[in-house]
Amino acid sequence: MVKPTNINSDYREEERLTCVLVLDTFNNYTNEIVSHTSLPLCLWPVDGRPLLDYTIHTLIRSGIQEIILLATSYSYEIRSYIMNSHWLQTYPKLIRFIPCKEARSLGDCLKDLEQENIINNHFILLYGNGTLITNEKLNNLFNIHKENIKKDKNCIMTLVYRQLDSNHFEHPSYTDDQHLCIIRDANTYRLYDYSTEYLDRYEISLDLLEKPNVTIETLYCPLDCHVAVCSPDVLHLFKDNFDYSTINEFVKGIVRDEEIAGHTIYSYLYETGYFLSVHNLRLYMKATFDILRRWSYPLVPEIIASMHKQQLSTITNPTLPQIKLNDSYLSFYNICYPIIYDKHNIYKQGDIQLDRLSNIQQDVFIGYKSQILSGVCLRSSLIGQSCIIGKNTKIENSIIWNHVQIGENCIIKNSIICDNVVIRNNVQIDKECILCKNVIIGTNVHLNQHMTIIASNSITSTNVVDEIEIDEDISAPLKNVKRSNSKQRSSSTMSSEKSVSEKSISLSIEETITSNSDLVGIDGFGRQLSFISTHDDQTKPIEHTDDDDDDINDNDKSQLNAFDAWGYRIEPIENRDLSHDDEDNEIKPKQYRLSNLKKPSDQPSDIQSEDENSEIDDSEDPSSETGSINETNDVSEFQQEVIRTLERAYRQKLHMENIIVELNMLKPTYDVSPTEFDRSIVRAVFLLPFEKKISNSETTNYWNSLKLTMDQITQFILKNYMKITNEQSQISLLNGLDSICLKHIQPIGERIVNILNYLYENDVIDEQWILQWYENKQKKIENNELIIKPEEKIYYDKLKQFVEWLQNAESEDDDQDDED
Amino acid sequence: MKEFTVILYAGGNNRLSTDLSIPKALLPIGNRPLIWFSLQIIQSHPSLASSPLLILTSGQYRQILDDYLSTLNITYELIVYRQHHESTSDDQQQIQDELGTLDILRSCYSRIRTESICLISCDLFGKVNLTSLINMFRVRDASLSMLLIKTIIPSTTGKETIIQPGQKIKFTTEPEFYTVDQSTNRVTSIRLKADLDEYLPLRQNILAKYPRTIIRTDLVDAHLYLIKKSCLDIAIRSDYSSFRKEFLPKMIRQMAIDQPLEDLISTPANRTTMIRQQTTDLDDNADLSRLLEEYDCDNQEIRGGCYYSTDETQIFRVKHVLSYLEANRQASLLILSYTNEDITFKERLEQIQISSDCVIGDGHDIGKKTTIRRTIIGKNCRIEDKCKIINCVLLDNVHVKEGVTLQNSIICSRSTIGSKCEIQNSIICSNQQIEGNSKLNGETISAINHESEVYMVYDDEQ
Repeated sequence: MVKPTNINSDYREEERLTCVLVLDTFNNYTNEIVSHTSLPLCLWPVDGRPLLDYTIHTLIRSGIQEIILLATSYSYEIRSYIMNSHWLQTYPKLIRFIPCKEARSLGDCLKDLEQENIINNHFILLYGNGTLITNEKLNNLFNIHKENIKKDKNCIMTLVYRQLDSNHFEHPSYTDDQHLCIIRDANTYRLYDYSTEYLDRYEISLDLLEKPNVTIETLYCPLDCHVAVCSPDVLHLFKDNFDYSTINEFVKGIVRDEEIAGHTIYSYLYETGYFLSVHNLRLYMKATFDILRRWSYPLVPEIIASMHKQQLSTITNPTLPQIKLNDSYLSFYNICYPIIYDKHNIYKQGDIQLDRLSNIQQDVFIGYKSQILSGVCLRSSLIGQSCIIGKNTKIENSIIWNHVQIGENCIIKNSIICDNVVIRNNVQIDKECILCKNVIIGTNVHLNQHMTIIASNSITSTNVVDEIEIDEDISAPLKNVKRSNSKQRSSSTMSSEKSVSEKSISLSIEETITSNSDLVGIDGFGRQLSFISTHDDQTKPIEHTDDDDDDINDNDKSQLNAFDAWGYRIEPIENRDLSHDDEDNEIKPKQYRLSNLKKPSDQPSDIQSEDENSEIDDSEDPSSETGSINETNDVSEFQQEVIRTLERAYRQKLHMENIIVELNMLKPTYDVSPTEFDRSIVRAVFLLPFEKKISNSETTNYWNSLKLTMDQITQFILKNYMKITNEQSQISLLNGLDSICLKHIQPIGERIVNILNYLYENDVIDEQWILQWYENKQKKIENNELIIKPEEKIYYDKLKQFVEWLQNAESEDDDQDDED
Repeated sequence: MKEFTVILYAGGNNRLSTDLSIPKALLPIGNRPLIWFSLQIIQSHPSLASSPLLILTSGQYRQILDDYLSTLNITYELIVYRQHHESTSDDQQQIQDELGTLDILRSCYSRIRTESICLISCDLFGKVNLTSLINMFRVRDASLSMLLIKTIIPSTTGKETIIQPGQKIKFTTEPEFYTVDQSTNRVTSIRLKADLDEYLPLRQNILAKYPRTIIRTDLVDAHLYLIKKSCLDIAIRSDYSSFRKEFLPKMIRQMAIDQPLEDLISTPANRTTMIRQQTTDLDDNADLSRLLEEYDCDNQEIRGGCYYSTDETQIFRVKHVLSYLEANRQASLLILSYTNEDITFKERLEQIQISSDCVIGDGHDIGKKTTIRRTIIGKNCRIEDKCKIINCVLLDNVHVKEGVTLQNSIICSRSTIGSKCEIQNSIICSNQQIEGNSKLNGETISAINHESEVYMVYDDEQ
C-alpha cells in the first residue's frame, strides 16, 4: 500500500482538505429555545460576529480547502447568511451548503451527505453543533489520521480530545453532556472502550489487559472537541447501519463489532491549545467570554473585524450586487464596523454612546450605536448593537443581543437576552435565564434562575422553516453551483419568505395570546417555555405535540433529552416519566407526578395497603384510597418501574446482568429500603404476567405466562436477590408470594402448587425454608392469628397438598439415603 | 533522630534444598548469601546505610544468620519474630507461609522509633539506585513509596532458550494491575488478578480525581517500601495479616478516594489502643513536640499519597528456579560493581577448560580434561576428570565423579553425582547420591520423593 514517495506526496494536488460541519445540536431543549430566537445556534452572535464565522476562520487558518455545511431545520437562515456573507466572495469555492431538512440526527445528516457522493477522501467532521473554536491548526489532524492508517489499515476514525486538569468537573468547559470514559491503548491511542454513561464503576475486561503489547490508559472526561477525522468509509457505515444516529452510537458499534467488521477507531489528545465546541447555552456563553478574554487569540474580535474589512475592501464587485436582505437579524452581520480594543479587554464597536459616569470594568464588548447611560456597571458582558442600557443597571456575565432596551436599576447576571427584548425598570434576573425574542419584562419583576421566557405569540420558526424548505428544495443545490444566478434566486426566496411570513401571521393570530403576568409583570409580555418533563405542573407545549408524531422521533427524543439546553444532566426520574408519557396512557404518569410532589412517609407501609395501592393503579380509580397512595407512592411507583423493567427484559431478551445492574440503579433513585426492594422484586416477578399481557393468544392463562417469564429471566432475578442460603430473604420471598396469592386467589393462588414446585425444582427456594415457613404459618392459624376466609381455602388446601408432597419426597430421599 | 528504620525481612524457607539448616537468606548466589545482596542495596544509599537496621528472622535460623552477619562490618539488630504455632518441623513451613508480614511486623513494632520505615525483603537481587525513590518519598511527603520493577522475561543467552530445570512447574505469577498516573508517578489502585473475576473495575470517584491513568500489567512489586510510621500504625492496628495483598490495596484505595485511613482499623477497641500507644511512645522519646505532630489525629501525612518508582536496571526478586539461575549468572558482574572484587575464576589450570564467566569457590579440586562454562561452583567441590559442566549451579561440597555431563542444572550441597551421568535441566537436592550412568532430564531428585510440588517458590507473602 505505502509507496516509497517523498514527504509531500501526502498532500496530492487533487486531495482537498475537507471539513464537514453538522450545524445542529440535535438536542430538543436547545432547539426549542433556539426556535424562539429566530436564529440557529450557530449564528448566535459572539462578539459582533456569528459563531459560525469563528469556526470558518479557524478552518481557513488550518488550511482547510473545502467546508461542507450540513444544516437541518435552519437551513434557510444559514444559507441566506452564507450567501450574503463575504465568505462566498472571498473564497468562492470554499463553502458548500447541503440542506438536510429531514434529518433528525447526525446519522441522518451523514446519510444525506453520503448520497451527495462528494466525499472521496478523509475529512474532518465537526459534530456537536459544528461550531468549534480553537487556535490550533487542525490540518495536522489529517497527518495524524494517516499515520494511524499506516500503522493499522483498519482505522476509520480518529477522535479528538483535549486533556483537562484533574479538577475537570469544575472546569468551565466541561458540561454534563460531555461525560465520557475512554479506555485506549497508551502507546497507539487505539480506542478499546468508550462509555458516555454515568456509572459508579467502569469495567475493563481482563482479556484486554492481558493482551500482549497493550498498555491500557484510561481517560476520564477529557474535553470532547466534537472533532472526528473520518475515512470515507464512515459515511457508508452510517448509511448501512440505520441505528447509528449519533457519534456515540457509531463508536460503540464499531468498537463492539471490531472482530466482525474489523474497523478500529483511534483517538488523539491535545495537551495544549484552546478548544471549545459550542453545543449548549452554557458553552455559548463561555465561548463569548473566552473570546473577550482573548484565550482564543488570534481569533479575537478586533482582528476578525479588520480581516473582514480587508476582505470586503479588496473585493470590487460590480458583478456581484449585494443582495438585500429583509431579514434584519442577519443583515447586521454584513456591515463591518471597526472595533477598538482598549485595556482591560474592553471592545468598542464603531460609534457608541458611553456615559462618563458609567463603570465599564473588564471583558466587555459594546456593539455599534449602543447607549450606556450613567451609573451603569458592566462586567464580562456582551452588549449588541443599538441597545440602550438604563441608569444604574448592573450587568454581569451576560450576553445581550441587538436592539435590546434595559431600564433603570436592573440587575442582570449570567443570562442571555435576545433581540428586541424590553426590560423595564428594577428588574432582577438571576443566572442562566434566557429571554427570547420580543419578550417584555415588566417593572419590579424578579426572575429566578433557569427561566426561559418566550414571547408567547411568536410561532415556532421550525414550522416556518419546514415550509420554506418545501418551496425551495429544488433550487438549493443549484445555488451552490451557479452563483451568478443568485440574485434571481434570492428574489424567489424573498417571495417565498414573504408568503410564509403571511402564513405565520395568520397562525399567530389563531393562537391564543397567553402571557403569564405573574411571571413577567402586568406591563410585561411573555411566558415561560415549558418542556414536557422539566416542569411537572405544566402541560406539553403545543408546538411539541405537533412536531412529534412518529415513533422514531420519540425514541430520538428520549435519548437526547438526557441533557438540557445548558448542558446539565436532567434527573433520571423525570427522564423516565417522559418515557412513560410516550409509552403509556395518560393517566398513570399524572399520578406519578402527583406523587413526586408529595413527600413519601418514612415508615414502610404494610403489604396490605400496598396491595390496595397496586390494585388502584390497575383499576385507575384513585378516588377511594388517596391516603395510601401518599404513603406508598414511592414504593408502588418503584414496583411499577420494576415490573416495566422486567417486562422490557422479557420482551427484548436482555441480558441478565444488565437487568440486575438496572434494578440496582433504581434502588437509590426511588429511595426504597432494602426490604421494600426485595418485596417489590418478588411482587414484580409474580405480578408481571398478571399485569402485562405478556402472553400471546395461545397461552392466556397465568401459569403459562408466568412460566415463560420465569424460564427466561425472572427466576434468575430471584436467585440473585433471594439467595437460597439466606433465611431472611427466602422467608420474605415466601411471604411476598403468599400475600400475592391471597390477593389474587383466582389466577395466582390456585396455582400455588405449580409455582412452588417450579421454584423448588429450579433451586430458587430451598425446601427447608418452605417447610419452616409453612410451619410458622400453621402455628399462626392454630393460634387464630390468621383467619382463613372461605374463598382463601382453596389456596391453603393447595399449599397443604404441596407441603405434604414435599415432606413425603424428602422422607423418600432419606429412605434412599438410608438404604445406601 | 534518624529518618528511616530499615527492616529487612529475612524469614522464609529455602525450598531449593531440603536441607532446612540454610534459610533462604543464606542461599548462595555466586558464593555469597542472598542477604548480602540485599544488604548491598541498603548500603548503597547513604540515608539507609546510616539508619538502624532490623533484621527479622525466625527462631530456628537466628543463630546461623547471626554467625554470618557478624562477619560483615555492619551494625544490625536481629529480631526473632514470634512463632504463633508450635508444631513439628514438617508443618512449620506451611504455617510460616500463612504468617503475614503484618503479623511479623507486629512483633517488632515497638522497636521502630523513626518517622519513616524502609521495608525490604531479602530476596531482592540486583543493583538499584534508590535515590529517586527516596527523593520522591521526601519531596511529595508521601505516605508510601514503592519500587516496582519490570517483569523480566528470562533473557535468552544467544539462541538457546532457557529451560527451567527440575520438574516442569508452571510459574504463573499472578498478574497485578497497577493503575498509575504517569505524570505524577502516583499509584491510584492496585488490583491482584486473584481478586477479580472477568473485569477490572474502575471506580468513578477515582477516575474523577485521576482522569488520565495507565494500567500497567508489566510491573511487579519489588517488595521495597518506604512508608510513614503513621501509616504503618494503621496497618498494625488493622486486622489484616498480609501487608501487600490485603492492606496495601485497601490503603491506596482509601487514599485515592480521600477517605480516612482510620476506617481500616476494624474494631473500636483497636482505635483506643492507638491513643494509648501515643502516650507510651511519648515516654520513650524526649522529643515531645515531634511526636505530637506525628500523631495529630487527622493526620495529613497519611494522605500523602502513594507513589512508585520504576527502575530500568536489571533488578528482580529471587523467588523461583529461573530467577535463581539468572541471579547466579549475573552475580559476578554485580559483585564486581559493588565491591570492585572480581570473583570469577582466574587461575589457569592445565588441561582444564574453564571459561572466564565461571565462579569457583575455595577448596576446589578439579580433575583433568574437564570443561566448565557459565557455571557457579561452591566451596570444597570435587570434580573429577573428563566432566563437562555447562550452565549449572553447584552448591558447596558437591562431588562430581568422572565423565559426568551436567547441563542447565542445580546441584545442591553435599550431593554426589555418580560417574558418567548425563544430567540435563534437573535439580538435585542436597545429600543425594546419584548412581553412575544415570540419565536425567527435567527431573527433581529429592530425599522425599515428589514431596514438594512447588520448588523454590518462596513465600511470596509480603
